[in-house]
Amino acid sequence: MSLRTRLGKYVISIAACVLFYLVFSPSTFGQDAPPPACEWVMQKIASGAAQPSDFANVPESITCFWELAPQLRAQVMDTALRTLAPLQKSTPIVQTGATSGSNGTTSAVSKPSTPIASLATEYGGITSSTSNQTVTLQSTLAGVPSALVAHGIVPYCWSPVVLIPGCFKQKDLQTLNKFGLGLTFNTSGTSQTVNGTASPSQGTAQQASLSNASNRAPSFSGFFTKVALIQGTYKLPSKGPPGTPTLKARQELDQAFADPSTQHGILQTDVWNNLSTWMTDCVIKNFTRANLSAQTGEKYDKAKATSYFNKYYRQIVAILFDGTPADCSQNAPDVAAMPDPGKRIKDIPQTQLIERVTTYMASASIFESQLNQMLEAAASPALSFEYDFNKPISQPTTSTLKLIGSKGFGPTICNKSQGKATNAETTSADTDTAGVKRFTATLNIAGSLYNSPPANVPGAGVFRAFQAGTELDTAICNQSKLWIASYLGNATIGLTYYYQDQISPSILKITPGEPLSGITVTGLDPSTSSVFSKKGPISFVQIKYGLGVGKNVKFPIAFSWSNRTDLITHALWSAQFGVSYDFSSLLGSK
Amino acid sequence: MPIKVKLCEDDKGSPAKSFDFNGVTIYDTAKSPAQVVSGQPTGLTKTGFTLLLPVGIYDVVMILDHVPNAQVAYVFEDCDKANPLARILVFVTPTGSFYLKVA
Repeated sequence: MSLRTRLGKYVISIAACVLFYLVFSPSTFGQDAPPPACEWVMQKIASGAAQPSDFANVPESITCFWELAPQLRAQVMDTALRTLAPLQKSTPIVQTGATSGSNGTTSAVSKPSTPIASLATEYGGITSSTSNQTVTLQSTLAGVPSALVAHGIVPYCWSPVVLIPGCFKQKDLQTLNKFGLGLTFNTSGTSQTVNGTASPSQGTAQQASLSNASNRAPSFSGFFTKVALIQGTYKLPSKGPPGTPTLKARQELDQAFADPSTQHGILQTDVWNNLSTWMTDCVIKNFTRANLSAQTGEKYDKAKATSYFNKYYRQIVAILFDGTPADCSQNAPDVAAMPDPGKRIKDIPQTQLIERVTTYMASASIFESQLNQMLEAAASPALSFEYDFNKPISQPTTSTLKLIGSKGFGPTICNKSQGKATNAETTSADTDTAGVKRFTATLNIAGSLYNSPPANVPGAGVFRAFQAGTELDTAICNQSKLWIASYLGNATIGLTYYYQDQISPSILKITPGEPLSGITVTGLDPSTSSVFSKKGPISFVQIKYGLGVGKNVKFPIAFSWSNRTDLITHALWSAQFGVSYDFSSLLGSK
Repeated sequence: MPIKVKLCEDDKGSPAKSFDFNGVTIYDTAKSPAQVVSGQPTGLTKTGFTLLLPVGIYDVVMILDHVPNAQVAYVFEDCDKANPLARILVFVTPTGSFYLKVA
């Protein structure tokens, strides 16, 4: 069979499939599927979890109306989001620095979670023989999209049945949140070198012209990426995002669909009467559990539900925007086409109705996105995989593959009392700080590899070291109203043990004529291009005091002892310290 | 007489686990536009509040914090009563409301 004949057959097959779809697709029969939110409500009625009155009460199932009415357009929603975002400021969400392989870190053991966005500067070394200052920037892949939805720049679809054109979906953000990225830079003087040439001697003094031998900008030190293998459970925040704007929008929405004679509703009397008939005679009488479920039991009967929906529910658009009376008879025809925009679209009540529905949906979108940010930040993964690429100064680059597990246990502490009124308008079930578990245990198991097999180094192979570490943190809380007492009293104390079995020796790369950064080796042959040390197991013990539990700014300070480092073969004491800023709160529209 | 309102996990009155009250506002619908009733509700906790209101018709508006994919929350006068005051279809909207007539 020639290629042309084969192609011809494919084209005919595809055309036949398209034709079959056009002829037999549900829309051709006038049986358009209900929007997802409407279908979900009908399923809940069929299962007995919701009642027909919930469907008739439009504000209660407002997402269904939003998805159904063509008058509620995405552009109007964008404007509402931009207007509401500055009013719906979020509360800060917690978190934090560099991995253990870095020259400047306070952490011997990696944690499984990645903050939504943080910047840390740290000084010290865990297994490295030189200490440096580093800056680490890290974020989850969901960091930027989360910020966009929390700032009302992009709408947020908070459940699979909520459809807003151009929105970020909850499921996508949850997936992106599993991936974390971090970049570490050396910023200390040891990463920079100064060269000079001396002028002729003037007695015992000598003038020299000095210049930078290297770029003074921070040098790349490494990057890491994390993926959550087992996500932690979602826990409700002790203080959720501010709900007042959404409550206000909801009350205005309730009023938009209320009886104009008794509850100051905004609709014209004739439109309200038609709506009232539609609610009682079309929806409450027809969308019963018996009508929506199969005869065999509670199972949702999609075909029957779709038929009722197309016959009765879809009338709401014409009732509100065209002034059409409700037809709740058994012979009512399917609603073929919904009015867009409708004869009464320019009337004030209809304009207000659109504005109130859109404002509510935009407000709910921002509220839900901020709530999701809090839930994701609190649900730290139970098990993560981390890949580190390290570029230590004057050493070959390495890769570390790491499994990280973590578990909190003991009572929940640092949780302020509930039920605090915030202002005259709204009472919120507030607490000031999120609760944390008294103890957290973290375990790391890792293998470190040289990215290029070391040449001409006796006993060296690709596999550099096996690493294992464990950390036990205990949180301490202080409810003092004094800022300084609150800061000093809300901290974590961590005890760490870290073990590294060096399979291959540590190697220093030497460029002839250039000094090693922070290291002096005497007696080297001019032709030497690499120096290696005696290999052996490293045992490292650290006690760390972490100031700033539940705050955006944290100050970890640590003291440690190790039997040796990667290059030095005798025991030594060291100190590590740092400061980190979690700017998740900025991304959360604070 | 005070009215105790509870947030429940299901229509059988089990205490809420997947939802918390984030906030509650009471509107007096006798006034135009409807006005917020200050000082109400009282004793708001994550799963309940108390209302003590004079004669009138009120719109009780609630917003919930909830875990992802939470479905329907039930608001009862007490979790052991037969008919809920409101069902909040959390999967489609985080808010719920009910009209309360105090005679």
